[in-house]
Amino acid sequence: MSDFDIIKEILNGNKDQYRFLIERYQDQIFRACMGYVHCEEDANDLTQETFIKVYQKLSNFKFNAAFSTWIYRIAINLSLNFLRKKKGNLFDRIESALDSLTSKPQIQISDYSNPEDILITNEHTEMISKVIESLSDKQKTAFVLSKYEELSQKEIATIMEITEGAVESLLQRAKANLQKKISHLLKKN
Amino acid sequence: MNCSSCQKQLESFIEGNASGDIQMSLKTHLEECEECHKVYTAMVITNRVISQEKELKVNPFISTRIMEHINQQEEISVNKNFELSRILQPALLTASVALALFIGISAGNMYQKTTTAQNSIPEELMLMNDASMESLNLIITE
Ligand SMILES: [Zn+2]
Repeated sequence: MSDFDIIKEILNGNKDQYRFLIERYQDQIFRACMGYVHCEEDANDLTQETFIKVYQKLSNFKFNAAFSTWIYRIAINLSLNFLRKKKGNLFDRIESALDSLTSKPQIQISDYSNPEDILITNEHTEMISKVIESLSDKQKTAFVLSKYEELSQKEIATIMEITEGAVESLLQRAKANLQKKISHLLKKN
Repeated sequence: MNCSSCQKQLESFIEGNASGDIQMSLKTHLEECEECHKVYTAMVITNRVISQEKELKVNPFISTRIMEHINQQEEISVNKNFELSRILQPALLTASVALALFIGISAGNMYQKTTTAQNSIPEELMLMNDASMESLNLIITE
């Protein structure tokens, strides 16, 4: 059954059908939320919140665009709001971004001549999450949809309502920022 | 190979898509250049962290939890409506008698009232783009 058919069923009062939509999209929505919040518990909460919000707004769905585009947008907005609330005001955000880049002890890697052997520690995970979080909302969104969801630039463009060229440049800038910030944090013994 | 062309090709190198010749010269450069090696390591670590996060699975009970939540919410609103109608019913009965008497007088105004009501958009729809699609709320500009 197509997404549209399921939605029509739900709107006709067969609300138990919503379970099928949840099960169809729960993995990708959870993965996208992970890309923003990097915490299993928070990503589960955001996934749940997304599906509840989608259900509440379902009667507004106009069938002129893919359901997946719509649900992604709701998940993205909820995730970005979550991060904003977590980080507080703009000043705090700048402070903490600078903090994490300058005053934190640098990650020591005794021998990274063979990156396949690098043991990924909690410190690494925390560093990468912080650096991804420090990207602008647009760069972060393009990056998450590309790296976590493996969506094409065209699909990302549709979700973000921008051109494919704009997606490409956001991805390039996101990757350049990540490389610069992370390699700055790496220090050879 | 210089640093900028090395760093440009690192992504395809890591993904295993670089051709044999390029692979060789990239390896040579990475062994000699600490800066590029750091960038390379940064990319490898980033990819590894991302694939670890992608391996995590959503809570297997999430659909049950969501459906329970939705059913609860609807029960609450049904109960509220029931309570409300139980209280309002006698009042409504009286009101409808009064209304019946009043209809003759106000019939002329009814048409105007309906059109005004149609023109005002519900608040929740105003917040939505096209009244159908959720628009991205990317506040921070590049
Ligand atoms: Zn170099």
